[in-house]
Amino acid sequence: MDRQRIAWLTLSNAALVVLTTGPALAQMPIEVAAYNDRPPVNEQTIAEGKRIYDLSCVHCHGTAGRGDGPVAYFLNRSFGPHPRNFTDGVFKFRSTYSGDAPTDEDLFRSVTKGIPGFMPGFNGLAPAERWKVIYYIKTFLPEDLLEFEPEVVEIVGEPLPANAASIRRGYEVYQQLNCWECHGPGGQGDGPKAPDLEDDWGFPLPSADLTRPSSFKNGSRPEDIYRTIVTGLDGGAMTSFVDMMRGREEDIWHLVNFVLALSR
Amino acid sequence: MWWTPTDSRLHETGRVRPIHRFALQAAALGLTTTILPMSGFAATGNDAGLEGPVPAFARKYNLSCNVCHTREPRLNPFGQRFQENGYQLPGTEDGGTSLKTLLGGPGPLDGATLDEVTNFLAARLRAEVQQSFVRQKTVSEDPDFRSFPNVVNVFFAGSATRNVSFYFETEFAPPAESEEAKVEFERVMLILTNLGRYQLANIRIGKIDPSAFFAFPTHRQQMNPIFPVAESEEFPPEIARIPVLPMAFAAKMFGLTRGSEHQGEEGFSILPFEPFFFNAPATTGAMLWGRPLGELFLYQIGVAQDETAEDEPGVRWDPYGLLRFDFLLGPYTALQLSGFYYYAKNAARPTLAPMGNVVFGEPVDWRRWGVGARLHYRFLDIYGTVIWDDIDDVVFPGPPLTLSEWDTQGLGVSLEADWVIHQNWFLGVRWDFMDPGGLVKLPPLLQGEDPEINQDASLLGGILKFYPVPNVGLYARSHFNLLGSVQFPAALGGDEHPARNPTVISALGVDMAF
Ligand code: HEC
Ligand code: HEC
Repeated sequence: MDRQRIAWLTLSNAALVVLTTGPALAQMPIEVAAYNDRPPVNEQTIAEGKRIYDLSCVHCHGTAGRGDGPVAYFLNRSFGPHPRNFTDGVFKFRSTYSGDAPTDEDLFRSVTKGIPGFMPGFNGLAPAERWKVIYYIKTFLPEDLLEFEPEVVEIVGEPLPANAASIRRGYEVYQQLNCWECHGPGGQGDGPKAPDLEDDWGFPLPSADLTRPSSFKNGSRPEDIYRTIVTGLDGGAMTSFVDMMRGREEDIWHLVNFVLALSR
Repeated sequence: MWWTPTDSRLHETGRVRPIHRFALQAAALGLTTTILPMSGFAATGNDAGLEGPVPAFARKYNLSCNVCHTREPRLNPFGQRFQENGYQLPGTEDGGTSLKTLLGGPGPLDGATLDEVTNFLAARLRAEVQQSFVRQKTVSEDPDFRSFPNVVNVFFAGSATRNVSFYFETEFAPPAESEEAKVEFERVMLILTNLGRYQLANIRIGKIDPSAFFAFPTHRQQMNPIFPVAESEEFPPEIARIPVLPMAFAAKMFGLTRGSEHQGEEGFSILPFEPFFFNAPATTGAMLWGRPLGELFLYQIGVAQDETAEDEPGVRWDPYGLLRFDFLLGPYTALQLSGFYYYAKNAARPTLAPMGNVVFGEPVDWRRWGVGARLHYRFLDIYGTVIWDDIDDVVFPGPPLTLSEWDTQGLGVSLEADWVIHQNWFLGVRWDFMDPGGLVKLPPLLQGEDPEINQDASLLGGILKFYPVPNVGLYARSHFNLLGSVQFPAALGGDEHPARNPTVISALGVDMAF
């Protein structure tokens, strides 16, 4: 018996050594394009969505979508974010204007990728199931939010080459727009305003550490960061910069390059 | 959650086999090779943007420990569903393959996937300094300064593919004074999930914890237990200090053994304070569970294997069953209720040792049932269990032993309330009570006017835990004896009763998971 145990241990550890020293294994990219499987919105798909919600989401978001599931305070006792109260109709990860509803695709992306640190990505649900659960959570939203089709903020231009000039320009914009007040001069989330930031629900909300793009909730591709800056993150402390930057879209791309340069 | 305390030294007091030095070195080397790469991983940071490292599942899903734990190691309702579903997100059954690397293109490996190694590998390190205060010094009770860490567990766990998950756990305890180091497989299991349809039927086979789905958190979810100081090779056993663990889980019977075949082996005497049967941290067996009607209730049936206590022991397959109900009562509130029944045929033998000669009674069947409840409300987590034990009437071959007095029933209660005071602070209060059965009085000639043997035990404890990061907990705990001094009968040595001897048992420690 002892021998067996030792053999097991040695074997398993040997396997580990091989695995850990082997080439770093990349994660599979998450495919978002799941339109082929998109079911129609009707009573049946919404009911099916509720079934999935009660299995996968209810422990955090609560039976009535108010963000008051039994896990909420254990997940975050003294800080934000708490699981979202859908009846408030406030969404952070939108491609739409601040204050508007997100598109279904925005919601699909949040549910698929999850929210680093706080909500798992449900890409283990089939695309059709993800759509259905989205149809269901939309029944919690305030009616006036869904009265009109939300308008998508246009992404003007394309990512610029991240050369020294672009990053320097981005640095100037970072100073100008006072990003540093919250995110700190080096982007580590330690700006002078950071300790006093609160979200709309009264919880202290740490400002993001921009040196760790993999923790960005709204994505870390240049296009994602562009979207974060122009649409803002509603309900949190970060406002939309869309009006301020109208006509200066190139500067946004420079700023994006600067933000990404912070982690290099 | 699952990288939580397990206690071989506790549940199988002494049935752990020492291994020799070479193996120890091999293990230490193995551990170094596993822990170093992981700490390397920790140093490069994790994606959740959290300070410090987080264990395997949290790494895999890029989440804080607190998504699944009220506070590590205790599972919250979401973590419980994750565990029930074979380490897959609740509601899903894809084996987590979408997060893995696709190994093969067309060819023999087509469709095979592999997790990054840090996504299924985790380790847990614990170290503790204990001090107990006793009424009568029966063994050295000096502070127990052990090498750091006291216990290291290494886990591999995850989903292999759709419907198949696995779990391996080794435990490594460096030698303490007068003890030999040991490494053993704590738990090894194969998990088949979602057979037929989602949550209709799931199976676990291997070395498993039967009480995994009970409403009262299982052993692995308890704070570091404080081990007993006891010798169980001979009858009567020597118990210098009782352990601190949920007393409801314990055997709760004085005067029982596992039968003559086990004489001289550790575990021969059944310790009244040892976790047992359904509530043992791991037994070899199989179980089937599911939630066929949705979230409201869970069924579980299973068998656990052991040996009978007959003259020629045979294999025992103890059947058990559990029902559990889950209610979401309202804002921030969840209630779980569960009940189980466990039956063990010819599990033990009443035993007496007049003048040092061990004499066995007829083997007895053992029945155990229990109820448990758990309430989560905002940042409070309150749970309790009452567990009853019942054995057959005791029969000895003839007088004078037939004149001994036995109680065929035992009862244990454990109640705990935990309060997550602040993001990093945790306060717990626990009460453990036991009204044990088994041997009450020796035959009159030996017993005289001495106190009864099966004395009640009652401990009230407090624990304060500080988490500088979610996966590292520093704690201080103290358990106070609520009952006063009582002696064992003179015929059994006349020492202070082990349930009454400690007045305060305290510990300071650290519990880390990587
Ligand atoms: C472990 C807890 C947890 C679970 C389970 C969970 N969520 Fe969340 N969810 C959160 C938290 C926390 C937030 C808020 C994050 C933030 O504000 O940064 C959130 C936010 C959201 C948002 C808002 C995103 C935005 O744009 O602001 C949506 C939509 C959402 N969740 C949907 C779901 C769905 C659908 C499920 C089930 C398939 C689910 N969640 C399961 C914790 C959870
Ligand atoms: C008033 C404070 C404040 C200012 C000013 C501010 N931010 Fe933020 N920012 C925040 C907070 C708070 C968060 C985290 C929000 C959350 O996690 O919900 C955040 C998050 C982010 C993120 C990460 C988003 C994600 O996907 O998780 C990026 C990128 C970012 N900010 C960039 C900027 C840039 C660029 C500027 C200047 C144009 C800026 N911020 C100005 C407070 C601020």
